Amino acid sequence: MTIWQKELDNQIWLVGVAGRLDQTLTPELEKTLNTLLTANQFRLIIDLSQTIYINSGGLRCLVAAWRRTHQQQGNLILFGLTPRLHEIFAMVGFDQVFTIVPTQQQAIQQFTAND
Amino acid sequence: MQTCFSFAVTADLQNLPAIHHFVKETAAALGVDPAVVTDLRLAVEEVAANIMMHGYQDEGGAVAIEMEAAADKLLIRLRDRGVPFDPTTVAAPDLTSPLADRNLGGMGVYLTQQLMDEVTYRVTAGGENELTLIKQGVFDSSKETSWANAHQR
Repeated sequence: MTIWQKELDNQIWLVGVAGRLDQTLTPELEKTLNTLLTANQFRLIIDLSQTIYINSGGLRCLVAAWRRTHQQQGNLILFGLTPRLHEIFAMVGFDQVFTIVPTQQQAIQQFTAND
Repeated sequence: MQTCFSFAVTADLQNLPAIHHFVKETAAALGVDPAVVTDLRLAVEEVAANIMMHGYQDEGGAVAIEMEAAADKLLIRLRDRGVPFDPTTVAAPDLTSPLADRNLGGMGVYLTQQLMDEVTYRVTAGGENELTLIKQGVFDSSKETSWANAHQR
């Protein structure tokens, strides 16, 4: 159960969520994202391929960060969602607002294509 | 014969794992399809967390949970003595409004309603809030078949 982060090329940061995005991991994700946003990093990619669960608190945490990136012409892109996780996003309509792609490479292209 | 399993915790978010455990174990005992258990867990967690944080306003109290199989339905009842709150009256979020402007309150309630087939609220004769979550067709189809066969004979 961890949150990890890695700086990629082109001022993009990758943040990974391995485990359950509920009260056990959400506070740590919130802290990690806030640290990046405070450091003016607004090109964020979230690896959810190892995220096995998400509740409303986890969804709210992602939306809060998404809003802050958009206020600065950035974005927060999600990739690697399991079909079940994708269904949860769809239930609350978030599949229509977040940019969700299958792979990390595609997530990076979302940023670099516009550079 | 109907079997009903019950469990109670004090209203503390640290007790959510104990609730998860109860839901998982009871679902298995009742023969619920394991593929549905995560949905049940998520729905119960959203409701229980709401009771703990808003119903009792973080001041503690008891949250009781019952799980029961009735015909092809699974019923999960949560009872508490916190501030009365009927989540079934909460308006569905406007999923078409821009995310940047959307109010994210009530998302847990909405998610619960999406995960379950039916959600009902009432105040019991004893003055408790009682929320019932109903999910249909959750029982392992192999068991359902054997049950049906047994009745045909």
